[in-house]
Amino acid sequence: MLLRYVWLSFLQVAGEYSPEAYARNFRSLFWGLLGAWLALCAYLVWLAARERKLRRELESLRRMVEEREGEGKR
Amino acid sequence: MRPRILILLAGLAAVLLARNLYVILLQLPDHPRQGPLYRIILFHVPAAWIAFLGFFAALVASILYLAKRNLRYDAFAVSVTEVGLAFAAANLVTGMIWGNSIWGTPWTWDARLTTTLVGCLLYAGYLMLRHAVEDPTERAKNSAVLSIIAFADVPIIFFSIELWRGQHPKLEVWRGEIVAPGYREMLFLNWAPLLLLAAVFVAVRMRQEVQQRELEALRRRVHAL
Repeated sequence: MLLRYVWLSFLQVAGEYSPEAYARNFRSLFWGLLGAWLALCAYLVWLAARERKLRRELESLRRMVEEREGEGKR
Repeated sequence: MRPRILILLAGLAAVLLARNLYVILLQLPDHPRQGPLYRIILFHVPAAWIAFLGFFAALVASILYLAKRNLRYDAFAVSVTEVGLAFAAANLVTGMIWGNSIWGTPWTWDARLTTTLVGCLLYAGYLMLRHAVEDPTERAKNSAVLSIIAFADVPIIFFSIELWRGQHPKLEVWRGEIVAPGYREMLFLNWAPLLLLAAVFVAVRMRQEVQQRELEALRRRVHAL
């Protein structure tokens, strides 16, 4: 529904362009915006994955240190 | 910075960007020759500004690290470099898609494009170097030196249009010669939330760098026990 509204609004302001040229131009804009956002989203996903991995490793290492120190005291 | 504040700032940036996208797509006029595709500069140019700012911040932090040997500066330098590189990638992608439609090819060995690619490769090399050196102080020292050297490319990118004649158009933002009305304001209005988003990324990345250092210290302790 929203996409259709956006598309129709574009067609209304298209003016001097042929519908084919306008659609081609609009397609490029769409891919451009998608590309920019995908680059940033890919970085965000990578950041989140790194955060998870770091937390997991920290937890397991902290547990390991506690266990080894406990064994040493005994 | 607290995670809740970061989420709040990221949410604010997302709301502002969504509002900007509405204005960009439905309210701004088309370019007389390039049509709706011209709107892409509203992401392409702010992304480049943020990348430049990130690389400049990395330069300052690297110099400060070499002067004071405080690892916090190193953590900041790697965070802003990485975020700057992500925005440089967004800048290259949008530029290539624009070029494909307007020039008929996504890539030409134009001075601006080539120097930008060289800059991206230099900063990617900086991040790869960090993985190659294990000792934290040695890693910080070597990467600070590389960051200072890599920054030499940034002014070359910026002035490449004046230095060499190329295909890349020159954007006259300060003289107010942007083609269609409303574009100049929107350039800055879109830059602000993107910068906010970049700041959130840097804060998250810096926290990860601190965790990484804690992890390395714990590993050494485990080996010693």
